Formats: sequence, structure tokens, C-alpha cells
Amino acid sequence: MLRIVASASRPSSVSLLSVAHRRNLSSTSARQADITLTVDGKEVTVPQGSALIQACEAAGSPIPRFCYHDRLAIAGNCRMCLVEVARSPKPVASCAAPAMPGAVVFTNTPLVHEAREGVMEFLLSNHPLDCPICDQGGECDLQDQSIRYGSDRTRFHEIAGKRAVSNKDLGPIVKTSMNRCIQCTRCVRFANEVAGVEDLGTTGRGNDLQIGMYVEKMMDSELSGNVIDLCPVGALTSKPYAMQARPWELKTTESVDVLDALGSNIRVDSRGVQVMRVQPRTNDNVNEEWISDKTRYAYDGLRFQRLTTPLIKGPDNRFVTASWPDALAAIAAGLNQTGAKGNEIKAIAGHLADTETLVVLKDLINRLGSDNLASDLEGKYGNAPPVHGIDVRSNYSFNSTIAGVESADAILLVGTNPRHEAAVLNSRIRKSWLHTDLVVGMVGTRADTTYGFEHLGEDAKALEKFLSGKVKGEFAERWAQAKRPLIMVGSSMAEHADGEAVFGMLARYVAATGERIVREDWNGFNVLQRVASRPALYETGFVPSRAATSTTPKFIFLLNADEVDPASIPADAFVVYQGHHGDRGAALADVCLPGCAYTEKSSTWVNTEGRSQLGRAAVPPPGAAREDWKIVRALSEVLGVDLPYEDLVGVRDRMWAISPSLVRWDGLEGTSLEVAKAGLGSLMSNFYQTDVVSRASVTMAQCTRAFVTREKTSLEGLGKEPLQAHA
Amino acid sequence: MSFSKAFSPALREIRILCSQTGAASAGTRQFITSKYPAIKQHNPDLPVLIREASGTPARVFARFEMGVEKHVELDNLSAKDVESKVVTLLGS
Amino acid sequence: MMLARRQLVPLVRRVAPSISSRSIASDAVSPAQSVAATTPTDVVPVAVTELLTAEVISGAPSELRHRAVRVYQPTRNTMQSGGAKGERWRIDFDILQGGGRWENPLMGYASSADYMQGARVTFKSQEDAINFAKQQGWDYYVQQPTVKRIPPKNYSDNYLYRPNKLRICKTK
Repeated sequence: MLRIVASASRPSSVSLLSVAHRRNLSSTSARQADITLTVDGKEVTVPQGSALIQACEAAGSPIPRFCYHDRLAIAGNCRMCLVEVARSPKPVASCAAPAMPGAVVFTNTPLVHEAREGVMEFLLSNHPLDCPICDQGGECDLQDQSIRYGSDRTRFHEIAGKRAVSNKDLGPIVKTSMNRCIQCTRCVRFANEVAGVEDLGTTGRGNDLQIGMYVEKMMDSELSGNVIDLCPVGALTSKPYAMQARPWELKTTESVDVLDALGSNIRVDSRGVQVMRVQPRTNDNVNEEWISDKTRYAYDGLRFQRLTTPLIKGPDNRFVTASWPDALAAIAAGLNQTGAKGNEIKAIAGHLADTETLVVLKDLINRLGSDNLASDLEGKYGNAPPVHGIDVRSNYSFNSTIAGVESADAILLVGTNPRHEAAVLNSRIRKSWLHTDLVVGMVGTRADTTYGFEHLGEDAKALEKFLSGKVKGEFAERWAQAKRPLIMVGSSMAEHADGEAVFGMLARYVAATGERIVREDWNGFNVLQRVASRPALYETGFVPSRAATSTTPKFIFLLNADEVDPASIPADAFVVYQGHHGDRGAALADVCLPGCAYTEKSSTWVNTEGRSQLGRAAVPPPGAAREDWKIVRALSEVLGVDLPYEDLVGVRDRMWAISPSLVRWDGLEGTSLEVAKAGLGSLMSNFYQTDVVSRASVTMAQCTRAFVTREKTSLEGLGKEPLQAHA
Repeated sequence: MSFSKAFSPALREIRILCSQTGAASAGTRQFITSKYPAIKQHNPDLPVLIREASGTPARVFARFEMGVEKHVELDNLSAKDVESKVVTLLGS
Repeated sequence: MMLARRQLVPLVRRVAPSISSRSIASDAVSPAQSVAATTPTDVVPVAVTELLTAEVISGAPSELRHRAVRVYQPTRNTMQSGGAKGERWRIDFDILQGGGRWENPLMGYASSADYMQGARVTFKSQEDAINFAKQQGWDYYVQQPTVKRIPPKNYSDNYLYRPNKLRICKTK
């Protein structure tokens, strides 16, 4: 069973109840015994409780394996990791054996070679000769290990042939060819522990062992694509990617995902001009080794409905292809014609707007005299500053850090379903829930989050009741005693009528509990963003002023904004849409400017923790599309606005002047305790009020609307979710 | 104190950059803790962005109409000096 | 406009704008002194030793000096369990906007106007890679190595006793 990953490893001899939490800053990392053993003549020191396979890897002798995986429980059934240990009568399965002090291990002796050849022979005896048609060819563990560790000739002369197993239908994501399965049970362990859908299992025994669901069932998990990575052979492969490409044709580019706000590290594999697939990258601070299905499979949307040339809407309401100078001139003419000045010039930033473009656009709009910088939040909330305010970073970020979620001992979810909003974060909560005595309580729409939680209610009244201590129950008790309680507020609370009340309530509660939730080494107040551009929006100050909220815009610049309500755009306004897909936003526009999608530009993305990450361009943009910030910069020239930068270095310098954390890629800048407290103080006193109406709804009597989390699909359509996703 | 009344509407945004723990930014942080509630109370609509990053020198930027931005350096100043510098900046 | 070259601070111009470009606080501790520098090194310059730069005689076009290069450790392919490729360091060019790739009309291959798109240089260590980039006069960005924290794993964890209600029934 996988232990909690923390900043330092910990001893395994400690019982479960005394699992050490993250230490405070003054002490050293967790003390534990280190043991020394000898592997192939090299001395190596590893923490006590390590498996022998980890010790051998640390010593520089990697051991082949099929069923062992760093992040799953140990099964020990493939027997490929056999090594010879001195004074042991049999070879030892190094994944299951603990590293003992003073052990002398050999990984290269004839006995070990014979053991590996034997295991290989057994595995291959029932493995079909599918390499030419198998998707895993070229990145197959079985292929590589049989070349390296297997015998050179076969002894398989069975007249009856090989075992055949029927294929299981696991849904539209995972393609199964169970003939190729070597029964390593990695998929079973993943589904059980990480994904939380305990549906996969083994049926039968011995030669008749089959992996499957036993009943015909889809794999209803938003992390189901990860079993494709885990499977060492081609038994579980990717259905959308089936038969498309071979791994040696692909050029890999390391980038960052933008389909949710986690900023999962991905590796984009492309061939020529097309993105062929998206694979995860290991980063224990963000996404461990998993990515959600939406991240993994949304890339095929990059090929359809792309804006490739600038478009100008003709008098008959049809778009006409135009050249760049013409399109920019048309925008300048449109701006003059509408006579928009001051706050009548509005910019709306969408879900996939990158930080460089936000910075340049904000500068442009500000220099045109406007503060009307909206975002496409639901309803009217996008046109007003968010209720939690943008002044202090800790008010809108995930302050405990994603890795810090594992050290929480009680989690309160408010108006969020992390399973849909940040699937990989949800698996981390599940990991913590499985291996420690974490308890979770939820206020919001009841949903299946893959871990048990106590449902405390659906609306702000229920939250108030809980926070005032009137609720009895196991969660309330454990919450009261928790040393590291964590409150996770969903970003949909900022788009809810009771959002202000909820944030105020929570801020008052946090202040009242003193050092329990917010202190030097632990900030348990978190807002889970679900849209990739929001943290950057708030970080750069891309919010409207109150005066701007009430102004009717005459010139609207939509930056990737596809969730705007068409009714909110005045009929006589001149609309410009800059983005990469011809979706709802482009249909509303008078001029469309083609920009780049996230795989085509090298831009900064800020995740929900405030961690800035640099994506990388994998493929060139289609047609005449240009990089987004360059379009806005060119537009500024045409509009006669002087922006003080001309190249990427200048833009990055400007980003540094706005907030240095924007250019500190891969690092995390926290908020100091005093500033965090100032931020919470302002939440308490409702400084961020938007209008009279929402101020009036602060009274508890009106807080009856249930928190509905902002998912696009219903809970029943879980397994179908990835199909409809695109950029 | 000049922070007890609203600023002129020509001021559109204040941005304070400082370090979370450095001694050079201690004055700025103190200024934030003491004056931020008052500023927000009298200027609820004014964005006062506080952006911390380790190792960054303390500065305050003020954005006025038409995107004009001015800034002053606040590194190594005490809270009082920070206050006076901010006042001069906002008044300019 | 000439871009700054051969500094450990990537992508910073030599001509400073009105505020000190990427300056540091007067009391900041430089990464050379701090124990474990986990923040990216774009803030404090480290003493640059004089190198004989190859760009003077390499004959490379001058446009190359304006293109950024990424120094990184390639990530392990998650489909496989071999991790040796992830121990090396690589230098890779960013794609050229507008000159990247298009489909060749004859055979459907990926043609490119970017002569460095296939260039991929491998090194044993990060310092080697950085020295090479400096020598060639390229602007470089160093991507942080993979953060991986695998705890010690133990087979007996499968059988640990849990008090309270069972949260998972271990099947396999």
C-alpha cells in the first residue's frame, strides 16, 4: 500500500496512527533510520522500510519489472524483479522484499539471468504475436525486456496454440485486447487505489486468470486513461489513438495542460503539424503521474473548427476572409465608428487566455482609457470584480498547495466537486483518505467523489450551522480536533448569489479559530479554481472597476471568450474575437482574429496554487494564425497606442513588474501570514461588494439556494465526459 | 492620515510588490497590515494588488488614467517612510 | 534590438527599462548561499567564467542568436518503466513561429523552414548543457528537473491494521 508522499520519506515501522505530519519549518526533515546495504558491490544507503528494488535503483542497478509501480501497492506477481541475495536459498522478489541492513544483493549473476529468462519465457508463451498491430510497439516493456533479459530462442512448440481471452468493453477511452494481458494487475490496483472505481478485478486463477469487470460495465472514472500508461503491454491501449502513430515518429514537447486549473504537466507528442497524443509528465507537486481524461483526449478538437485566417463580417452577416492589415484596420475603423471611449471599451477574457496576452491586453485597454476588463464567468458575475477580491493572492488561490493536501487531517469541501473540477487533485485526496485517518465533509450538491465524506448540507445555511458548531457527528468532532484543517471552496462560489455571504462566513470563522487554520506553516483556506486562465486573470488584476460594470460597452474585445451570454452584448457594439476555435464567441464577432491554441504557443499559465508554469509550442498554428500577444501588440500599433515592449523579453519584463511570481516558472510563491490575514480581514468586512442587491443577500434569511457545482455533464455521464471536450 | 479619505478618481490601481520574509520589505509589510483596511474602507472600488515574491525588492506602482503608471522603490524603508513615499506617489 | 546573451539570467535585456530589470531585494540571499535553491535561478547572476565562444567561428546564421533554447531533462515515458533517458539533459529549440512545419504536397512528409527543428543535443549534466548553450551564444531557459518523491514502499503495508471503518477492501 502506498504511503503518504510527503516532503521526506518516513519509517515504515511506525504504526499508522502516528503517521508524522509535515514538520514545521524549524525542525529538520523527518528523522528515520537509514540502512546500508551492498548492491553489486556498491554500497548504498536508503531509508528504512524501502523495498529492495528501490535500494537497487538507488545504487544504479535498475531492475526490470512488470507489476511493480512506484505509486501503486506492491503485488509481487510478475517475478521479473528476482535478484540474488547472499545466503538466501532462492532468488528474492526485490519489490516485495524489504531492504535489510547489511544485505548483499547481486543483480547480474547467472542465477538472476536464468530467472529473468525463465519469467520472460513464461510470459511470452501465452502472449500473442501482435507486435506489428499492437499500439504499444516501440514503447512496450515486454519488447524491451525480452530483448535485454530474455532468451534468444523459443522453446514453444505447442500444437494447441496460445491462450485466448475475450476482450472486455471498458468504454470509449480504453481499448482492450486481453490476449496480450500478462496479468500484472497494475490496472486493478490503479482502479482500486487511485481512481476509486473499484470495478476492475481478477476472475479465475492460474492460466485462466482474466482481468476485467466481471459484469459488462464502463470504466466510470475521469482518470481512466492512466491505465493505458500503466499497462506494460498492449492489453489496454488508447482507443482514440489506436493505430494512429508509432512512438518513434513522434516529437515530444513538454508543456502544461490548460483544460483545468491544475496545470498538469504534460508531454505533447506530435507528428508533423498534428498533435497525436498527450501523455503525462511526472511532477509530484502538481499532478504526480496522472492526467485526467479531458486533458488526455481533448487534443483532437484542435483539428476542427479552427480559425485560420482573419475574418471580417460582411454586410450580409457572413464572414469574409481578410488579410491581417485589413482586419486590424477594420478594427480600428470599427472603434472609431462606435465612438467608444473610456469604459465603453470592454475586454472579456475567456477560459484559455494565456498570461502574456492578458498582460498586453490589459495594458492596451488601460491606455485606451478603460477599466472594463471582464471575464466570461457565469451570468453577471463576469462583469463585476469577484467577491473574494483580487488584492491578496491567498484569497483566490489554493494556499495549502496541492502537495500539502496530503498532510491535511480534515477537509471541508464547500460548493465544489473536486472529482470533476480537478480530477488529479481528487485522487490525491483519495490517496490521503485511504492511508491516513483523513475525514472529509462536504457542503454542496451531493456527489460521488471516490472517497467517503459526510454530507453536511447543500446551502449556505448548512455551512453556517456547521461553522457555528451546531452540527454533531464524526466529522464535526474530528474537525474540531484537527491540527491541519483544510477548507476547499469551489470557484463556483464566486459565481453564486450567496458567494459573498459564504466567503464572509468562512473568513470570520478562520479569524475566530486563530492559529488553527491559517498560521505560519499551514494555510488551510483554499479556493479551487477550475478555469485555467482565472488565477492569471486575478494575478494581473484583470477585473473591471465598479464604474465599468454599469457602463454599456460599445466596443468589445473577446479574448478566447466563448462562454459569454450573447444577450449581454449590445446589438450595436463592435465585437472582436481573438481565439483559435470558431465557436460561440466567434459567431458573435464582427472581426475574428486567429490565435494559437495552447499546444501552439509558448506561454505562461498560472495554476490554482499560483504556480506559474511555462508551456511550450509543439506544433505550428494553422494557416495565418499568430501568437496571441503579438496580435494584441499589433493591434495597439494600429490603434495608435504606445506599448513599451516589442518582443517576448519585453512582455516578460512587464509581467515581472506586475507580479514577479508570473515569471518564476515552476516555483511557488506563497503569501506571508500578515498579508493573508489582511486579505481575510477584508473578506470579513465585505470590501468587495458589487452592488446593493448582493449586499442585501448577506442576511442569512436568503441563503437557501443550493450550491451547484459548475460541471458541464451530469453525474450519470461520467464516462462520456471526455468525448465532448475540446479546446 | 491621508488614507482616511478616498483617493482621486484618477487613480485606478495600486500595486504593491514586496518580499514575504525579507527584512528590506518589513516596512512595506507593516504598511500593508496597518493601512490596507483603511485604504479599502475608503476606496472599496480601488484594486490594491499585493503581490509577494521572495527576493523581490519592495516597490509600489500606481496606475492612473490612460494607463499612466508611476512607481517608487520602497526597499529598506521603515513603515513611516513607506507611507510618506506612497502618499507622494499617489498625489503626483 | 540586441538581446542579452551569455548570461545566466535567460531572456533579460541589457538595456534596462525604467525599473531595474529583475533586480533583487537588498537583503535577499543569493542562491549560491542558500542551501537548497528551489526557486528558479533567474534572479541572481553567478560569476561567469570567460569562455571561448564557438559562435564566432561556427558560421551559424545570426538569426539563431535570437531564438530561445530549452535545457531540460526529458521526462520518462509513462508507458514504459525504463527511466534512463530521463537522466540525461537535452537542448531543444523552440519552434519557429511561422516557419515551423507544413505538409509536403508530394509525400505528405513534414517539411520545415526551420533548420534547427531536428537538432537535439544530449548531455550528461546540466552544467555541460548550459556551458554548451553559452558557448554557442544561445539564449536558454533551464527547466527545473522533475520533482519526484517516491516514499519507501513495503509489502507489509498491504496488511496493515486500520482501526475504524474499512476504507478499501483489498482485492488484488
